[in-house]
Amino acid sequence: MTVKVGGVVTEELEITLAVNGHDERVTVEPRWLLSDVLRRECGLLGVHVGCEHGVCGACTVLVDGEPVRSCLMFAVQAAGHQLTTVEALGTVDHLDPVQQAFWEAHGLQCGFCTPGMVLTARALLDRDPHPSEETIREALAGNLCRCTGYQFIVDAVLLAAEKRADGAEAGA
Amino acid sequence: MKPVRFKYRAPATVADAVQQLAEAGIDGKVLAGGQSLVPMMNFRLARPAVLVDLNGVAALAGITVDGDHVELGALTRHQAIADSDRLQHALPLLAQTARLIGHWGIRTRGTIGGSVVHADPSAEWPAVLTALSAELELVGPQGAHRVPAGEFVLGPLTTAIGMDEILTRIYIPRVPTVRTAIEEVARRPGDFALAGAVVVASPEDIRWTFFGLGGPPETVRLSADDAQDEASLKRQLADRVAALEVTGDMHGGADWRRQVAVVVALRAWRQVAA
Repeated sequence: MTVKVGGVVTEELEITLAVNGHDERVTVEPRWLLSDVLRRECGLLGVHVGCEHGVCGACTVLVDGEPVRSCLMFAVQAAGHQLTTVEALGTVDHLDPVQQAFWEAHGLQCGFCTPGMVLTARALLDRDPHPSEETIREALAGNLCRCTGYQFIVDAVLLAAEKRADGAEAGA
Repeated sequence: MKPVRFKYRAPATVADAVQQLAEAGIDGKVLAGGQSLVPMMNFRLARPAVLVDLNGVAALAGITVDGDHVELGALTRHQAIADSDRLQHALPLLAQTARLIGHWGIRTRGTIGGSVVHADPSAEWPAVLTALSAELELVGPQGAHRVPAGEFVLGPLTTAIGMDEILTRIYIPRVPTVRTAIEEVARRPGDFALAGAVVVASPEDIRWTFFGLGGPPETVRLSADDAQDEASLKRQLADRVAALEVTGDMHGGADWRRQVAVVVALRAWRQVAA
C-alpha cells in the first residue's frame, strides 16, 4: 500500500506480529525498526532503546527463543516469528525465577539494561540449565551495563539457575 | 538514528531476488543478517532506495556435509555454524571461528554470506574461507559462477561481486591431512579483531592467513622444516609480516598490529603443533 506522509510518498505494509503469545496486527513502514514498533505500536515499553546500532544490547528481544537486537531488525522481517519481550516473563506479583534472582542478587541498579539482560539470561538457561560462570559471562558479553560492574548480574544468573532447578524439582 | 525510507522486497526464490535486485539497479541493496548494514542505515551512512531481503529465500539456508565437501547456504547464521555438531566433526575450524564473531545476539542474525560480501578487514570469514580454499557461488542475471574465496575480497569493504549478483552458496573442501586453528586479539571478546591469524598445516607446508590488518586477507607460507624451532619460526614470521601492507587505526598503529599478527600466528601454530 502506498500512502502520502508529510508530502512524501511511502510504502506501508500490514503485518501480523506474534508477540508474547498473541497476534498483533500492525501497519508499518518498511524502515521501522522492530524495537520502535514493539514500543510504539504494541506498547511494550520494556523494550529499551539504547544505542540503536547494535552495540549495547538493551533492546534485546527473543525471536523464536533466541536473543536478537531489535534495533537491527525491521519489523516487517519479524512477521512469522515468535517474539518474546520482558513483559511475557512475569508479573510484579509472580516474577519469573530470572527476575526474582536479579532482584535478590542486586543484579540491577538503574534498570535500563535489565530487560535485555533478563531475556538473554532466560534464553541461556533454556538452552543450558546449569551454565558455568564463564558461559554466563560469554552469553551476556553483548549486553552493556554501566551500573553494576557485572558481578551481581553474573551472580543473579547463577542464582536463577538454582531457582529454576529447585522449581523443576518441586514441580516434579 | 532511523533509516531513510526504502522500498522493501521479500523474494522467496533466488531467481526472484536476482530479478528484483536488477530492477532496483544502483539504488538496490541486499539485506542478509543486517548486523552491519542496518547500523549503517540507522546512521544514514547507507541509504538504499530498495532493500531486497534474502531472509525468506529458503534455498539460501542450510548446512550440507558430504565426504569431500562442506556446503553452506549464504544465509547460514554464525550461531548455527557454532552449534552444528556435524560441522564440529567435519570442519571444526568453522565452529571455532563462528564462536569468535560478535556476541550471541549478533550471531543469531548475522550470516556467513553477509560477512563475506561486506568484507570488513577485521572479519574472520574471508580469511578462513581463503585459508580453506573455499569457492563462492555467485548468481546474477547471466547465471551462476564460482569464484575462489582468495580472489573475492579486493580491499576494505570491496569485493569481486557484481552489483546485480547475490552470493548463494559456499563450498569448502574437506582435506583430512591438514590441521587448522584460528586465533585473534580483540579488546574484549566479541569486539572486532585487531589482528587475527588462521593456520592451515599440512605435512609439507604451513600457511597463515591474516585478517584485521586493514586490507584483504593475506597469506604467508613456510615449509614444515621452517617450523622446527619456535624462535626461528618467530623470526621468519616477523620478516614475512613486515612485508605485508598493514593499516593502523586509533586502536593500534601498523607496527603494533604487525607484532600482534606474529603473536596470534604463533598461538595458532601452537594449537596445531600440540
